[in-house]
Amino acid sequence: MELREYRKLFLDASLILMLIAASPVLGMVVSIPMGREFFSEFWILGPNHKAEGYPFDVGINETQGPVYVAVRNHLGYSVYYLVYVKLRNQTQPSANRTMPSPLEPIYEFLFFLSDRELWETPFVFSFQGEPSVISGVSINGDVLLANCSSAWDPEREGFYYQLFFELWLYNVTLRDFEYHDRYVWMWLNVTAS
Amino acid sequence: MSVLRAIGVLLVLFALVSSVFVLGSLAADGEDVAVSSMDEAEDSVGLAYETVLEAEEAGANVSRLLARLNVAGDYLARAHLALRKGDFAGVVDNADRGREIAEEVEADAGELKELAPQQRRQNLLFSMIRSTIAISGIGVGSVISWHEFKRRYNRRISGKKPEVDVDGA
Repeated sequence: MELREYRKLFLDASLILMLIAASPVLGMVVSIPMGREFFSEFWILGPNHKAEGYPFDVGINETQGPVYVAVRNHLGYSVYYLVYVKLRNQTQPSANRTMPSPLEPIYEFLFFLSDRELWETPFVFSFQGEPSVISGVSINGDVLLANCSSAWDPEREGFYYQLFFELWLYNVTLRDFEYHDRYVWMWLNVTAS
Repeated sequence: MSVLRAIGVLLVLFALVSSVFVLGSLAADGEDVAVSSMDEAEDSVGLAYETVLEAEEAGANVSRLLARLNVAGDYLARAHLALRKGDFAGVVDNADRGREIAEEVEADAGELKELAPQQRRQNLLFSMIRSTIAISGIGVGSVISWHEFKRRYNRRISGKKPEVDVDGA
């Protein structure tokens, strides 16, 4: 290699090192749009932290779980979340992608997440009453009154209930929570213990 | 005698009826107080969150405030749970704890919001000083290295050529 080529190599290497040294300041002054999408992730996982092994056949007074309910914030700012836990039978209205269910929640979680932060909670539950009429639900050790009945489903042969979770977030303009168009659920076949 | 007995019966009946009303109104008062405590706590937590968001927008690090707000959120959720169970004393207790934490967080977030621009300027200044020193060091180091490299390179090149002895020794 000629001396001229070595000089170019030295200059290039020096410039790269100088740019690296200047990067903290550049990062504070210049914001580069990264083409990022803003959303919230919302999921439930089975007892082994996998998308399998969810409770299905549930005996009265049998403790189920834990399943893991989790939310990750990708909205670009700190968010005040609310997760409602609701119980319904096959004919009662469910939530959908735009509307929450009009049913009253039986339990709730309130939490704050900074950008990209994860929230996860174990969810252990059991039902009291009879397969056709659930009169109480125990969630993470809290015993709550419930009143949900289900008719026998002759096709699938069981008393079916859906335990579902709705994601809401606090709107500072409304100063209230609004539905965040996300819900996850588990269908449960409730049997006598 | 029968008049006295009738008065006695009336008095007992009056006592029973009035105790039912008193207990009923006390229970209603308890529920009102509980719901009012809950509303106050919800407002406080909402306001604290708004102030934390403003501090975050101003460039402050709000992770500690969010951790404390999570504790307030837990109390608020417990208050809602107590209300569903009809445990009004539990509602007031949990709601008050949540409200107290939220009010502290709101005050701290307000201070952070005021300090954030100054802190940001200070951080920028320190970063600029560090980067300037680093860039100067790299510049000086590159020049010195280059001269050293050039000297060795020339020596190596000149070592390949036959040397001429000027004195002829």
